[in-house]
Amino acid sequence: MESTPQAVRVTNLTKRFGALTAVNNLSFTIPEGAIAGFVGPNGAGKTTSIRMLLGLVAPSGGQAEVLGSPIGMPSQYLPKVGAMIEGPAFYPNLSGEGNLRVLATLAGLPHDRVHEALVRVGLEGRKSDPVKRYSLGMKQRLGIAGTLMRNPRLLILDEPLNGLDPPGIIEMRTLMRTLQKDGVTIIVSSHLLGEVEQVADWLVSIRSGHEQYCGSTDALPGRGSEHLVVRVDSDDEAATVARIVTKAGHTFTKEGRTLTIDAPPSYARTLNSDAMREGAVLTELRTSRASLEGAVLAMMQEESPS
Amino acid sequence: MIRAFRAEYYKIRRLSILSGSIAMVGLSILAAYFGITRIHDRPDALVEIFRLSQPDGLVTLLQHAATLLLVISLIVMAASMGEEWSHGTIRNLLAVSPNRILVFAGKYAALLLYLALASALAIVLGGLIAWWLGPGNGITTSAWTTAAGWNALATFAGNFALCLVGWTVFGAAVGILLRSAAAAVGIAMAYLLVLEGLITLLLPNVGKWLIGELLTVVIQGGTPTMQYSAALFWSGVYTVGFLAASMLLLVRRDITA
Repeated sequence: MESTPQAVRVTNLTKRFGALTAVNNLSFTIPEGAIAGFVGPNGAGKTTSIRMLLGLVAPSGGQAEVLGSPIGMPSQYLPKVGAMIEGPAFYPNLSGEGNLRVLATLAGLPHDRVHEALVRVGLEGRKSDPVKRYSLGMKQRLGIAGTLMRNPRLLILDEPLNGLDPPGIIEMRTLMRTLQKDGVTIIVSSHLLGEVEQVADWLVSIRSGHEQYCGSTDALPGRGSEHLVVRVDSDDEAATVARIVTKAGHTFTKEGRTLTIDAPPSYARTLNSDAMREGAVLTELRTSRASLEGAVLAMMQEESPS
Repeated sequence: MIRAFRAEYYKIRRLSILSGSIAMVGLSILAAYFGITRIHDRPDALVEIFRLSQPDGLVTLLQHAATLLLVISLIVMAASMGEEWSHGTIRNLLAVSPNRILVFAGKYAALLLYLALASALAIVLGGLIAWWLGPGNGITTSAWTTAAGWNALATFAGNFALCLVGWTVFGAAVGILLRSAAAAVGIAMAYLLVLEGLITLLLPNVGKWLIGELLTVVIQGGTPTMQYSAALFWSGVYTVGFLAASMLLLVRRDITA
């Protein structure tokens, strides 16, 4: 990824609050156009790092660049950044539309952007209600609307799925993918690794204020490559499949009538036709790999002194 | 700063803020009403009627309400500043417009203008009530509209404007320092109504140099124990000090709300 322009480049970033070191020599990059999961357990330093990137918290040491500009000069890059940090924050007695108008006016945006953003997140019908009457999911959507008004090049979302119902989560994933297609870089900070896995193609994992992993989600150590899982209904068929797989030069593990084969997804078609020719019916044939959650947790356990 | 000024007006339209101006108008009208209709209940009624019939009689009456208007202005300013931290909205504002001084200067200017207009409305309505009720209660109001009367009113308006700036800067500083609407209002009130009162009572020579006492002298145009010019100067020093401290805190402190 050396030749890919970086949306975020962080080098030895450190933040101390008195005796507490919240972020400790953190270094990572996020390439432009990526959906990057920014993950780590509670208290790992995710939110403090994001606050530093947005100029809200001054670093104690280190450097960082956002969209090519140093974080010491936030006015150079913030107009191109949309951010929702630590959940949505609004004036509870002001309407959803009023809250967005405050931000649009402050940013010098035309007010039709407010309407567009409300339509985009499905809140147009409740725009006049005071925010105190919104559910957490609606506040979350309003927060997203606030970030989208500026047509950002970089979107930073801290726990964006909190409070969303299942359709809302699916809509959020779709929205993120659509924005990515439009060239927007997205940073999703979350401790819900399963959700991050659904959308992220880049991962920055931090723990106790320093990075554990920075890279493509596919290349995450411990995650391994995709493999095939086959299930059959009889021991004879299992033996047949085992023979075919061995003959093709692949290894496997067998558990009852289920075989996990170290082979790429492209082998599935060949395996299916060979098995049929030899009289074995595959009742299940799917690809599988270690989950992001599993790989990250394994990495954390490896690092943990206990 | 202009954007921050304009953005603040969406927030001012909230009932919680507008109720401040409703309270101002209500208090001013009530102060004028009771100040005139209850004048005969006072043991010094004749002296008071004579005093209110002078060219500066209207100003004497309005000064009763002025202190309350200023206290409400302080509460509104302290709460409005502190709520940006209480609600966490400061991170939204600064993620959109990173120049903290300009954001808060625009916010302060918008709130100051709103409070000045609300105060002006309250004073005008209080004055009209007094002008309407005065003759029926033995007060001759004709002196109020003489050149001397208008001059007294203009001086009062100028002093009120200066005090409004002083009180609201104090309110803004407390809001920014405490980073909480509730704490800002509570601490500011506790200081003005309890602590400063106690100090003034127990140590009058110290108390007269405190901000609340100084601004009270300014609105009264001077008192026998404190000259107007001295009160104005030291109020200005306090105001500049509060401004500098607020700016320093805004620029230097991390936004962790």
